[in-house]
Amino acid sequence: MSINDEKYWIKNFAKASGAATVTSKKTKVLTTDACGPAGYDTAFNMQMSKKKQISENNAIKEAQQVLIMKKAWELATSPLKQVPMNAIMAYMSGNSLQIFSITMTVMLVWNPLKAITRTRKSFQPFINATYQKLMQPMVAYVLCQCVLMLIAFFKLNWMGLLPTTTSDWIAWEKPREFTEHVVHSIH
Amino acid sequence: MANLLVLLWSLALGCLFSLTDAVLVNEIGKNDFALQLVGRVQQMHIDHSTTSVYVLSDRHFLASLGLENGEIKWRQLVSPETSVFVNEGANLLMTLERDSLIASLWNSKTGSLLLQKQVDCGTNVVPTSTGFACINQDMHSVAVFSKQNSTFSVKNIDTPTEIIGVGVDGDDIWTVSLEEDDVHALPLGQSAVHSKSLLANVPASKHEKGSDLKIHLLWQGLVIWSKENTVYAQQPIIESEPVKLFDGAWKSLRLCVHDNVRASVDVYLSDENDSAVFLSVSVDEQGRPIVINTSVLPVGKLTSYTFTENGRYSVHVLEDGTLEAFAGDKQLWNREESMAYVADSFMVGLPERDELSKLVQQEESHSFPFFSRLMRHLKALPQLSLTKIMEPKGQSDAFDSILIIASTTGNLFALDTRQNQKSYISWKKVLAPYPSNVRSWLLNPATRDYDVAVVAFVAEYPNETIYFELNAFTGDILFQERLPYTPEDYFVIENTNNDTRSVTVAAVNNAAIVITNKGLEANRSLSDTVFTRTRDHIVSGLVLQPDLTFIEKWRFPFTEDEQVLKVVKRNPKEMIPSVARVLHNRNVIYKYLDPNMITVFTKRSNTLHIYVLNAVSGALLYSTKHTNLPESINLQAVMSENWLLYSFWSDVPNLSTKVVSAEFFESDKPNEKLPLDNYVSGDVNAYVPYVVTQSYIMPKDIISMGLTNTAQGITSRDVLLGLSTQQLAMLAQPYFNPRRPLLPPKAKNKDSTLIPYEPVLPMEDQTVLSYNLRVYNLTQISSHPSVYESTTLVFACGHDIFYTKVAPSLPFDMLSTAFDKRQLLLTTFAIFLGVIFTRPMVRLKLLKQKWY
Repeated sequence: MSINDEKYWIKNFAKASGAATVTSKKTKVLTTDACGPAGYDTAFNMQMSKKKQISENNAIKEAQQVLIMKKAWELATSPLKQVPMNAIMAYMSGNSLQIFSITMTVMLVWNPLKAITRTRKSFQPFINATYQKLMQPMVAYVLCQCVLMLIAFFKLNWMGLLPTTTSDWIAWEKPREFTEHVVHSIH
Repeated sequence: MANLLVLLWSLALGCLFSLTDAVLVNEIGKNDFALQLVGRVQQMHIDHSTTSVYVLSDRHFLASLGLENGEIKWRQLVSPETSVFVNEGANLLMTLERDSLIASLWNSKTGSLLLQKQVDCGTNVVPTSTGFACINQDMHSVAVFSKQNSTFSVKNIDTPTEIIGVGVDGDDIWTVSLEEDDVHALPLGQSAVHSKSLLANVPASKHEKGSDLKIHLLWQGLVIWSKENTVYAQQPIIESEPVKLFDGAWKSLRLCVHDNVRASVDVYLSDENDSAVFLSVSVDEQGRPIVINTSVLPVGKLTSYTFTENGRYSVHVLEDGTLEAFAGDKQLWNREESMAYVADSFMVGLPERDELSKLVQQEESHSFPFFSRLMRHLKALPQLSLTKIMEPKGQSDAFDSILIIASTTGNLFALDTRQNQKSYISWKKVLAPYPSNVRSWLLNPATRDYDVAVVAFVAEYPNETIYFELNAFTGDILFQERLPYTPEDYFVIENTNNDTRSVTVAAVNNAAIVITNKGLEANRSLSDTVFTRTRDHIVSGLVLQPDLTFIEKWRFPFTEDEQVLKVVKRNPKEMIPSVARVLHNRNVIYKYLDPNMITVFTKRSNTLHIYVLNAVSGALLYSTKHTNLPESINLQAVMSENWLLYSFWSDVPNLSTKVVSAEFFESDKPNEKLPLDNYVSGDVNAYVPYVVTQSYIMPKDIISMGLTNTAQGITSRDVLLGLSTQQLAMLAQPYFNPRRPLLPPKAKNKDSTLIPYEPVLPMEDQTVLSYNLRVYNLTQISSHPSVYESTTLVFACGHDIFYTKVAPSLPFDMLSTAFDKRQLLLTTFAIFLGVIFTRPMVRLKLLKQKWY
């Protein structure tokens, strides 16, 4: 018989204490056959034990909250880890209008946009936390995605696709109108 | 329902592709043609052995034409003052340049030059069986030139008497001398006892020696002589009776001799009433004079005439240069050689094409242009036939045009490029014979509301002017006016309503005379219109008063010794695609786009002056000069948007053709424009340009210059050049950009939009548009937009005529020649059939999958 056999270990323990028996794995019945030592107040002791259990439970819950928030912040700042890679890829793909650079730029714009629209879904595992507390990492997450998108805008600018210069708006500029008209003699 | 949708989609796709016929085919003869001309023929000879007509024209072309079809077999340019002689049996042509006495021998079949040598030759040159003979300067000897291998041998043979002519009879050479009112013929190299008298065979009743016998002509042995009122022709070399040409009252006798034609003389006799009688005299097979029936000839307009000895073929030249060939009374062909004398030329858009382009423009202005286009194509569906769909490359009228040529001979031609190559001439009008000056212009293009293009034609005479307005598509005369004066200038005032024609105004002594029968009421307000006028030393601006008199508004002060060579202006119809030029860093520099800007070129001693003026106020915007120029400078110039380009001959540093490009901007700084209101008056002095210039050397001589022109102006405006090498070329606009950077060797070009500066312009073979053809003297170049933005129609003329299409920025709005519409349609149809047939099979399979 192995020491790891749960039934065997409980049985021995029951025998050793002589006070407790375990009927099943899931339900535990504590029976007291022997009297406590002198001065030992069983009722008091049980009350204290309950209080201790409650405080322990609270501590566990708080620790869980902290852990959740930590994980939420990790998720919120995770896009920043992609910044160096995306920046290098954006630089390497070149500024000419080719299928690779165009695909790359579209991805750089599209992925952050997609991520921002799915922010709530991304933070679904942490939804047990207080919504107000979760707002901060969510905002941070959106901002980080914006940083990623910024690379895309830089890339668009390098490619000359952003209408930021006078030449981009020259087609809308009205030509000068001349009030007089000249008729030249034939030959 | 789904099947119906698929069917409709396929039909729509097929419909769209069937109408997609804009395929640029760059092949010789595809939407281009060349008409080669020789000019007004002065000498000609029919060679029966090679069925050719050899002609020599006043444009100095020696050419061989097919006797049956009139097409040019070959042609060569020869020196002025050249005579041609034909050795029929030996397939040789000989030419003699009378000023330099250079004899040339040509292969009459191929036109190749066999031999050229300077000879000491006198007068009265006649061809012999081995070369030619002529009288020496002393008039007592004959020089006989014979071709021997690669050179000419000369043999001088003395004659006993002074000779006045040389004749040839077979291998024998005869000399003819005049003695005591009689003509004697003597075989060359024999003594005087062998001489024959001209009048020996004339019956005694017809002549008396010493009476009023007149020798009118002695040419190659044929003598035209007259006694009293009777004119005779006689061949004294052989013993023949004189032939009576005319017997009646005549006042004057004019003879027209063809140097090359053996025994062929045209005789014009005019009687007391100045009515002319035309006769043509030749010799028959026995050498006797014969008179050719001339009933088919238009008497009075004929300048030259020749025929075969058996009289079957005849070729004659009319006074305007038209060359006509007859076989008996039947006309074989004619060549409109007067088109070689171009006074003005221009292109007229076809009405259907203009209609389509207007329709497209209207569709673009709709909210949903795609649906408008789709609806148009669906409407065209009922007219669609299977043959039209399967037609691989039908270019419709996209690249066709009407070409108008006004000749200095007073003719007006319209060439329709849609017709086959043998009859491009759509119509011809002989409007005014022998004018002293001819002008012609497009008065009105065809519009939607007024679907007739109107051409104006003016023929000026010393004391009167005839003005015509014609329908450019049919040649019908719409309006005609005979003016008893010669106007100093003509102005065209454009219409403002689409349903009225433009109006021609003539200026006579500062008075404006409206020639067209419609008044000025429907036209543009004349209060803000300035009329410019150019004289030898004056350029001035005029304003028209309500009483139709011109008052001078400004006059540019040229000095007396400064002669105005040329005035160029912008094309008022050209489209401006952008108000600024974009730099490499995406900044812009604003163009100086004054539509009233003109450039005046003047010359004073050996200096060329260039003045850029505002034609409204006469203000000088820019001026420059080029010094140390030769006497003749061959100036060519064009102007477009904010760009001036001109070329001239320069002696500095050595004789070459220089091209100067000047671009006008509002400022030298990027993104900066002149601080003026958007409405600019010509009197505002603050509107002045900043000019960037650069000069280049052209490795070839330029004889004419033009620019490509497209409907929207987006396509590059490349430069069209007529070259002295008898070619038409097109050079890309970036080569003429004055902002081309001057870089040291191996330096990196920071601005990739500009080609680094090189002084010599690259004239590579690809720049030549006329492929391997020689198109002579292209002094006029005009361009017209086609339906497609990428393509320009180009028409060049002067002597020859050349018409083509070009795509300066490549045919970006057209399918390539590799596009196979038939294959695409068949593939689409096959896929459609595949879908129809496999659909039930797929359904059955899916059903079975659900059971098992």
